[in-house]
Amino acid sequence: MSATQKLMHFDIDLELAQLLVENGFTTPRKIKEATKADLKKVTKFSAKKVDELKKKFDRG
Amino acid sequence: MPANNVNWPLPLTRLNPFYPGQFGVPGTANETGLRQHSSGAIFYVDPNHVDNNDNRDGTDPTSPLSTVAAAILKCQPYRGDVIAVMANNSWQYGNSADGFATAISEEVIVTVPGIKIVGVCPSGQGVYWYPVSNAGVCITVHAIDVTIEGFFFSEGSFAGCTAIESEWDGATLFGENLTVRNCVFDDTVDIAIQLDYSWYCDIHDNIFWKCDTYGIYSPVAGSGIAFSRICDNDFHDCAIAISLLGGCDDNIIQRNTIYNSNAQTPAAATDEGIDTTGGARNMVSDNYFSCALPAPAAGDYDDLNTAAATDAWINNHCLNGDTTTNPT
Repeated sequence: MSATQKLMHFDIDLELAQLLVENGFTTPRKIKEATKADLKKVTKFSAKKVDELKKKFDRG
Repeated sequence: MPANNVNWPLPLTRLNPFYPGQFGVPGTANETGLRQHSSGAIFYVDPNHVDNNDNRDGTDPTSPLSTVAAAILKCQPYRGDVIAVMANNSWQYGNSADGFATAISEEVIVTVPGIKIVGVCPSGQGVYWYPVSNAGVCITVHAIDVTIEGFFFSEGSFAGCTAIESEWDGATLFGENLTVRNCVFDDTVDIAIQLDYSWYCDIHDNIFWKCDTYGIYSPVAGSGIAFSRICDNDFHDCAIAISLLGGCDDNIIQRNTIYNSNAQTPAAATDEGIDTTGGARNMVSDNYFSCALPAPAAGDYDDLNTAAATDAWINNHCLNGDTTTNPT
Protein backbone atom coordinates (compact mmCIF):
# COMPACT_ATOMS: atom_id res chain seq x y z
CA MET A 1 0.00 0.00 0.00
CA SER A 2 1.38 3.39 -0.97
CA ALA A 3 1.72 6.42 1.27
CA THR A 4 -0.96 8.11 -0.85
CA GLN A 5 -3.44 5.30 -0.27
CA LYS A 6 -2.74 5.30 3.45
CA LEU A 7 -3.35 9.04 3.72
CA MET A 8 -6.67 8.65 1.87
CA HIS A 9 -7.81 6.52 4.81
CA PHE A 10 -8.01 9.82 6.69
CA ASP A 11 -10.85 11.05 4.50
CA ILE A 12 -8.93 13.19 2.03
CA ASP A 13 -9.12 12.89 -1.75
CA LEU A 14 -6.52 11.35 -4.02
CA GLU A 15 -5.26 14.65 -5.39
CA LEU A 16 -4.59 16.11 -1.96
CA ALA A 17 -3.01 12.88 -0.71
CA GLN A 18 -0.66 12.85 -3.72
CA LEU A 19 0.26 16.47 -3.16
CA LEU A 20 1.07 15.87 0.49
CA VAL A 21 3.18 12.80 -0.25
CA GLU A 22 5.05 14.54 -3.06
CA ASN A 23 6.00 17.22 -0.57
CA GLY A 24 7.26 14.79 2.04
CA PHE A 25 4.16 14.60 4.22
CA THR A 26 3.93 10.83 4.02
CA THR A 27 2.49 10.16 7.48
CA PRO A 28 -0.02 11.69 9.90
CA ARG A 29 2.92 12.29 12.26
CA LYS A 30 4.63 14.51 9.66
CA ILE A 31 1.40 16.41 9.04
CA LYS A 32 0.85 16.88 12.77
CA GLU A 33 4.39 18.16 13.18
CA ALA A 34 4.15 20.53 10.20
CA THR A 35 3.40 24.19 10.79
CA LYS A 36 0.21 25.59 9.39
CA ALA A 37 2.35 27.87 7.22
CA ASP A 38 4.12 24.87 5.69
CA LEU A 39 0.85 23.13 4.90
CA LYS A 40 -0.62 26.33 3.50
CA LYS A 41 2.38 26.70 1.21
CA VAL A 42 1.98 23.17 -0.12
CA THR A 43 -1.79 22.99 -0.45
CA LYS A 44 -2.56 26.66 -1.21
CA PHE A 45 -5.49 26.21 1.19
CA SER A 46 -7.06 28.98 3.25
CA ALA A 47 -6.16 29.08 6.96
CA LYS A 48 -9.55 27.56 7.79
CA LYS A 49 -9.06 24.64 5.39
CA VAL A 50 -5.56 24.01 6.73
CA ASP A 51 -7.04 23.84 10.22
CA GLU A 52 -9.59 21.31 9.01
CA LEU A 53 -6.87 19.26 7.33
CA LYS A 54 -4.72 19.18 10.47
CA LYS A 55 -7.74 18.11 12.53
CA LYS A 56 -8.24 15.05 10.33
CA PHE A 57 -4.82 13.78 11.26
CA ASP A 58 -4.57 15.04 14.82
CA ARG A 59 -7.16 12.87 16.50
CA GLY A 60 -5.30 11.85 19.62
CA MET B 1 3.65 -20.54 28.06
CA PRO B 2 4.12 -18.64 24.80
CA ALA B 3 7.44 -19.92 23.46
CA ASN B 4 6.26 -23.52 23.75
CA ASN B 5 4.00 -22.76 20.80
CA VAL B 6 6.79 -21.80 18.42
CA ASN B 7 6.38 -23.98 15.37
CA TRP B 8 9.82 -25.39 14.77
CA PRO B 9 10.63 -28.66 13.01
CA LEU B 10 12.54 -31.31 14.92
CA PRO B 11 14.79 -33.18 14.67
CA LEU B 12 17.38 -30.96 13.04
CA THR B 13 18.90 -33.73 10.95
CA ARG B 14 18.31 -33.32 7.24
CA LEU B 15 16.64 -36.41 5.85
CA ASN B 16 16.52 -37.52 2.25
CA PRO B 17 20.20 -37.21 1.33
CA PHE B 18 19.59 -38.03 -2.34
CA TYR B 19 19.63 -34.48 -3.67
CA PRO B 20 22.88 -32.55 -4.08
CA GLY B 21 23.28 -28.98 -2.96
CA GLN B 22 21.64 -26.36 -5.17
CA PHE B 23 24.00 -23.88 -6.75
CA GLY B 24 23.51 -20.42 -5.32
CA VAL B 25 21.28 -21.53 -2.43
CA PRO B 26 23.27 -21.36 0.81
CA GLY B 27 22.96 -24.32 3.11
CA THR B 28 21.52 -26.84 0.65
CA ALA B 29 24.66 -28.94 0.73
CA ASN B 30 24.69 -29.18 4.52
CA GLU B 31 24.06 -32.57 6.06
CA THR B 32 22.18 -31.15 9.00
CA GLY B 33 19.52 -28.49 9.37
CA LEU B 34 16.13 -28.09 7.74
CA ARG B 35 14.74 -25.64 5.26
CA GLN B 36 11.29 -24.17 5.76
CA HIS B 37 10.87 -22.69 2.30
CA SER B 38 11.55 -23.63 -1.31
CA SER B 39 14.37 -21.11 -1.63
CA GLY B 40 14.97 -19.82 1.88
CA ALA B 41 17.92 -20.39 4.12
CA ILE B 42 17.96 -20.93 7.86
CA PHE B 43 20.67 -18.95 9.60
CA TYR B 44 21.64 -20.29 13.01
CA VAL B 45 22.65 -17.92 15.79
CA ASP B 46 24.16 -19.34 18.96
CA PRO B 47 26.66 -17.20 20.89
CA ASN B 48 27.17 -20.11 23.32
CA HIS B 49 28.27 -22.59 20.67
CA VAL B 50 31.94 -23.50 20.89
CA ASP B 51 32.39 -22.69 17.22
CA ASN B 52 30.29 -19.50 16.87
CA ASN B 53 31.62 -16.85 14.51
CA ASP B 54 30.01 -14.08 12.48
CA ASN B 55 32.35 -14.70 9.56
CA ARG B 56 30.64 -17.95 8.69
CA ASP B 57 27.93 -18.81 6.20
CA GLY B 58 25.59 -19.38 9.17
CA THR B 59 23.44 -22.07 7.55
CA ASP B 60 25.20 -24.97 9.24
CA PRO B 61 23.94 -25.50 12.81
CA THR B 62 27.34 -26.88 13.83
CA SER B 63 29.00 -23.58 12.85
CA PRO B 64 26.50 -20.94 13.90
CA LEU B 65 26.73 -17.16 13.80
CA SER B 66 27.40 -15.15 16.96
CA THR B 67 24.84 -12.38 16.45
CA VAL B 68 21.40 -11.77 15.05
CA ALA B 69 22.75 -8.61 13.38
CA ALA B 70 25.13 -10.72 11.28
CA ALA B 71 22.29 -13.07 10.35
CA ILE B 72 20.08 -10.17 9.22
CA LEU B 73 22.85 -9.01 6.89
CA LYS B 74 22.80 -12.44 5.22
CA CYS B 75 19.03 -12.50 4.68
CA GLN B 76 17.43 -11.63 1.38
CA PRO B 77 13.92 -10.24 0.83
CA TYR B 78 11.14 -12.80 0.54
CA ARG B 79 13.49 -15.71 -0.04
CA GLY B 80 11.86 -17.37 2.97
CA ASP B 81 14.84 -16.84 5.22
CA VAL B 82 14.58 -17.74 8.89
CA ILE B 83 16.95 -16.68 11.65
CA ALA B 84 16.91 -19.42 14.28
CA VAL B 85 18.28 -18.21 17.60
CA MET B 86 19.28 -20.91 20.07
CA ALA B 87 18.41 -20.83 23.77
CA ASN B 88 20.71 -19.49 26.48
CA ASN B 89 20.92 -19.84 30.25
CA SER B 90 21.11 -16.17 31.22
CA TRP B 91 17.92 -16.29 33.28
CA GLN B 92 18.47 -14.58 36.61
CA TYR B 93 17.52 -17.68 38.57
CA GLY B 94 19.46 -20.13 36.44
CA ASN B 95 22.53 -22.06 37.55
CA SER B 96 25.53 -20.34 36.00
CA ALA B 97 27.48 -23.58 36.36
CA ASP B 98 25.33 -24.99 33.56
CA GLY B 99 27.09 -22.77 31.04
CA PHE B 100 25.34 -21.24 28.06
CA ALA B 101 25.43 -17.94 29.96
CA THR B 102 25.75 -15.62 26.97
CA ALA B 103 22.41 -14.00 26.23
CA ILE B 104 21.37 -12.28 23.04
CA SER B 105 22.50 -8.74 23.90
CA GLU B 106 21.84 -6.73 20.80
CA GLU B 107 19.92 -3.81 19.33
CA VAL B 108 19.17 -4.70 15.72
CA ILE B 109 17.34 -2.93 12.91
CA VAL B 110 15.45 -5.18 10.52
CA THR B 111 15.47 -3.73 7.01
CA VAL B 112 14.97 -6.97 5.07
CA PRO B 113 11.29 -7.70 4.32
CA GLY B 114 9.78 -11.16 4.56
CA ILE B 115 12.00 -12.75 7.19
CA LYS B 116 11.33 -14.63 10.42
CA ILE B 117 13.37 -14.27 13.60
CA VAL B 118 12.63 -17.28 15.80
CA GLY B 119 13.82 -18.08 19.30
CA VAL B 120 14.19 -21.85 19.66
CA CYS B 121 13.82 -22.56 23.36
CA PRO B 122 13.01 -25.70 25.36
CA SER B 123 10.75 -23.79 27.76
CA GLY B 124 7.86 -21.41 27.37
CA GLN B 125 9.93 -18.44 28.48
CA GLY B 126 11.65 -17.98 25.15
CA VAL B 127 15.22 -17.05 24.26
CA TYR B 128 16.51 -14.28 26.52
CA TRP B 129 17.22 -11.01 24.71
CA TYR B 130 18.54 -7.80 26.31
CA PRO B 131 19.47 -4.35 24.94
CA VAL B 132 23.02 -2.98 24.99
CA SER B 133 22.27 0.54 26.19
CA ASN B 134 20.01 2.35 28.61
CA ALA B 135 16.54 2.73 27.08
CA GLY B 136 17.75 0.77 24.06
CA VAL B 137 15.45 -0.83 21.50
CA CYS B 138 16.12 -4.56 21.09
CA ILE B 139 14.48 -4.96 17.66
CA THR B 140 13.57 -2.05 15.40
CA VAL B 141 11.49 -3.12 12.41
CA HIS B 142 11.69 -1.01 9.27
CA ALA B 143 10.66 -3.71 6.79
CA ILE B 144 7.33 -5.34 6.01
CA ASP B 145 6.20 -8.92 6.55
CA VAL B 146 8.55 -9.67 9.43
CA THR B 147 7.72 -12.26 12.10
CA ILE B 148 9.28 -12.25 15.57
CA GLU B 149 8.55 -15.14 17.91
CA GLY B 150 9.89 -17.16 20.79
CA PHE B 151 11.85 -14.49 22.72
CA PHE B 152 11.94 -13.26 26.28
CA PHE B 153 12.74 -9.55 26.45
CA SER B 154 14.23 -7.87 29.52
CA GLU B 155 16.36 -4.80 30.21
CA GLY B 156 19.23 -6.90 31.63
CA SER B 157 21.91 -4.72 33.19
CA PHE B 158 20.64 -1.52 31.56
CA ALA B 159 17.97 0.95 32.65
CA GLY B 160 14.77 0.36 30.75
CA CYS B 161 14.22 -0.78 27.21
CA THR B 162 11.76 -0.93 24.37
CA ALA B 163 11.61 -4.52 23.18
CA ILE B 164 10.14 -4.10 19.67
CA GLU B 165 9.50 -0.92 17.72
CA SER B 166 8.00 -0.76 14.24
CA GLU B 167 7.58 2.28 12.02
CA TRP B 168 6.30 2.95 8.51
CA ASP B 169 6.72 6.27 6.74
CA GLY B 170 6.51 5.16 3.13
CA ALA B 171 9.81 6.83 2.29
CA THR B 172 12.58 4.95 4.05
CA LEU B 173 10.78 3.00 6.79
CA PHE B 174 8.40 0.17 5.94
CA GLY B 175 7.60 -1.56 9.23
CA GLU B 176 4.18 -3.02 8.49
CA ASN B 177 2.39 -6.40 8.51
CA LEU B 178 4.48 -7.26 11.57
CA THR B 179 3.73 -10.45 13.46
CA VAL B 180 4.81 -10.77 17.09
CA ARG B 181 3.79 -14.02 18.73
CA ASN B 182 4.78 -16.36 21.51
CA CYS B 183 7.01 -13.77 23.19
CA VAL B 184 7.38 -12.74 26.83
CA PHE B 185 8.08 -9.19 28.00
CA ASP B 186 9.17 -8.89 31.64
CA ASP B 187 8.69 -6.32 34.37
CA THR B 188 11.84 -4.38 33.49
CA VAL B 189 10.71 -3.60 29.94
CA ASP B 190 9.43 -0.04 29.60
CA ILE B 191 7.56 -0.39 26.31
CA ALA B 192 7.04 -3.90 25.00
CA ILE B 193 5.78 -3.09 21.49
CA GLN B 194 5.62 0.39 19.99
CA LEU B 195 3.92 0.91 16.63
CA ASP B 196 3.96 4.02 14.47
CA TYR B 197 1.78 3.93 11.34
CA SER B 198 2.39 0.17 11.16
CA TRP B 199 -0.82 -1.30 9.76
CA TYR B 200 -1.98 -4.90 9.46
CA CYS B 201 0.05 -6.11 12.44
CA ASP B 202 -0.78 -9.40 14.15
CA ILE B 203 0.14 -9.53 17.83
CA HIS B 204 -1.01 -12.68 19.52
CA ASP B 205 -0.22 -15.19 22.27
CA ASN B 206 2.29 -13.02 24.11
CA ILE B 207 2.68 -12.34 27.83
CA PHE B 208 3.37 -8.86 29.13
CA TRP B 209 4.51 -9.12 32.76
CA LYS B 210 4.20 -5.78 34.58
CA CYS B 211 5.78 -3.74 31.79
CA ASP B 212 6.84 -0.42 33.31
CA THR B 213 5.18 1.96 30.86
CA TYR B 214 3.19 0.29 28.07
CA GLY B 215 2.37 -3.16 26.78
CA ILE B 216 1.35 -2.11 23.28
CA TYR B 217 1.70 1.57 22.44
CA SER B 218 0.87 3.85 19.56
CA PRO B 219 1.83 7.36 20.69
CA VAL B 220 -0.52 10.33 20.49
CA ALA B 221 2.09 12.44 18.72
CA GLY B 222 2.75 9.68 16.19
CA SER B 223 0.68 8.14 13.43
CA GLY B 224 -1.96 5.64 14.45
CA ILE B 225 -2.16 1.98 13.52
CA ALA B 226 -5.00 0.39 11.57
CA PHE B 227 -6.35 -3.02 10.55
CA SER B 228 -4.29 -4.76 13.19
CA ARG B 229 -5.18 -7.69 15.37
CA ILE B 230 -4.27 -7.85 19.06
CA CYS B 231 -5.62 -11.15 20.34
CA ASP B 232 -5.07 -13.81 23.02
CA ASN B 233 -2.40 -11.90 24.94
CA ASP B 234 -2.01 -11.62 28.72
CA PHE B 235 -1.26 -8.17 30.09
CA HIS B 236 -0.46 -8.75 33.72
CA ASP B 237 -0.34 -5.51 35.68
CA CYS B 238 1.38 -3.37 33.05
CA ALA B 239 1.40 0.34 33.92
CA ILE B 240 -0.75 0.74 30.79
CA ALA B 241 -1.74 -2.37 28.83
CA ILE B 242 -2.90 -1.20 25.39
CA SER B 243 -2.70 2.48 24.48
CA LEU B 244 -3.70 3.08 20.88
CA LEU B 245 -3.62 6.84 20.50
CA GLY B 246 -2.93 9.21 17.65
CA GLY B 247 -5.92 7.96 15.61
CA CYS B 248 -5.96 4.17 15.55
CA ASP B 249 -8.75 2.78 13.38
CA ASP B 250 -10.32 -0.54 12.44
CA ASN B 251 -8.34 -2.71 14.83
CA ILE B 252 -9.53 -5.95 16.44
CA ILE B 253 -8.73 -6.44 20.13
CA GLN B 254 -10.09 -9.74 21.35
CA ARG B 255 -9.70 -12.38 24.05
CA ASN B 256 -6.92 -10.63 25.98
CA THR B 257 -6.65 -10.74 29.76
CA ILE B 258 -5.82 -7.49 31.51
CA TYR B 259 -5.01 -7.61 35.20
CA ASN B 260 -4.52 -4.19 36.75
CA SER B 261 -3.79 -4.05 40.47
CA ASN B 262 -5.12 -0.50 40.83
CA ALA B 263 -8.45 -1.49 39.30
CA GLN B 264 -8.59 -4.67 41.33
CA THR B 265 -8.00 -2.80 44.64
CA PRO B 266 -10.05 -0.71 43.55
CA ALA B 267 -8.16 2.53 43.12
CA ALA B 268 -7.78 5.05 40.32
CA ALA B 269 -6.59 3.35 37.12
CA THR B 270 -7.42 5.94 34.49
CA ASP B 271 -6.93 4.49 30.98
CA GLU B 272 -4.49 1.87 32.24
CA GLY B 273 -6.40 -0.91 30.48
CA ILE B 274 -7.34 -0.28 26.83
CA ASP B 275 -7.48 3.26 25.46
CA THR B 276 -8.51 3.95 21.88
CA THR B 277 -9.10 7.69 22.26
CA GLY B 278 -9.04 9.47 18.92
CA GLY B 279 -9.51 6.27 16.96
CA ALA B 280 -12.47 4.86 15.05
CA ARG B 281 -14.28 1.59 14.35
CA ASN B 282 -12.21 -0.61 16.64
CA MET B 283 -13.74 -3.93 17.65
CA VAL B 284 -12.99 -4.74 21.28
CA SER B 285 -14.64 -7.91 22.46
CA ASP B 286 -14.37 -10.79 24.88
CA ASN B 287 -11.49 -9.35 26.90
CA TYR B 288 -11.16 -9.99 30.65
CA PHE B 289 -10.48 -7.08 33.03
CA SER B 290 -9.70 -7.09 36.77
CA CYS B 291 -12.12 -4.24 37.37
CA ALA B 292 -15.72 -3.74 38.36
CA LEU B 293 -18.56 -2.90 36.00
CA PRO B 294 -19.25 0.84 35.52
CA ALA B 295 -20.24 2.22 38.94
CA PRO B 296 -19.00 5.04 38.54
CA ALA B 297 -16.00 4.66 40.82
CA ALA B 298 -12.23 4.79 40.75
CA GLY B 299 -10.84 1.76 38.97
CA ASP B 300 -14.12 0.70 37.36
CA TYR B 301 -14.51 -0.35 33.70
CA ASP B 302 -15.05 3.25 32.59
CA ASP B 303 -12.00 4.44 34.52
CA LEU B 304 -9.72 1.65 33.33
CA ASN B 305 -10.66 2.00 29.66
CA THR B 306 -11.69 4.62 27.09
CA ALA B 307 -13.34 3.89 23.75
CA ALA B 308 -13.55 5.90 20.55
CA ALA B 309 -17.08 6.96 19.66
CA THR B 310 -17.46 4.54 16.75
CA ASP B 311 -15.80 1.56 18.47
CA ALA B 312 -17.78 -1.57 19.27
CA TRP B 313 -16.91 -2.96 22.71
CA ILE B 314 -18.91 -6.15 23.05
CA ASN B 315 -19.20 -8.64 25.86
CA ASN B 316 -16.06 -7.77 27.78
CA HIS B 317 -15.80 -9.37 31.20
CA CYS B 318 -15.31 -7.69 34.57
CA LEU B 319 -14.96 -8.95 38.13
CA ASN B 320 -18.71 -8.76 38.70
CA GLY B 321 -20.18 -9.44 35.28
CA ASP B 322 -20.14 -8.70 31.57
CA THR B 323 -20.26 -5.24 30.07
CA THR B 324 -22.88 -3.95 27.67
CA THR B 325 -21.50 -0.51 26.82
CA ASN B 326 -18.45 1.20 25.42
CA PRO B 327 -16.28 2.58 28.26
CA THR B 328 -16.26 6.34 28.64
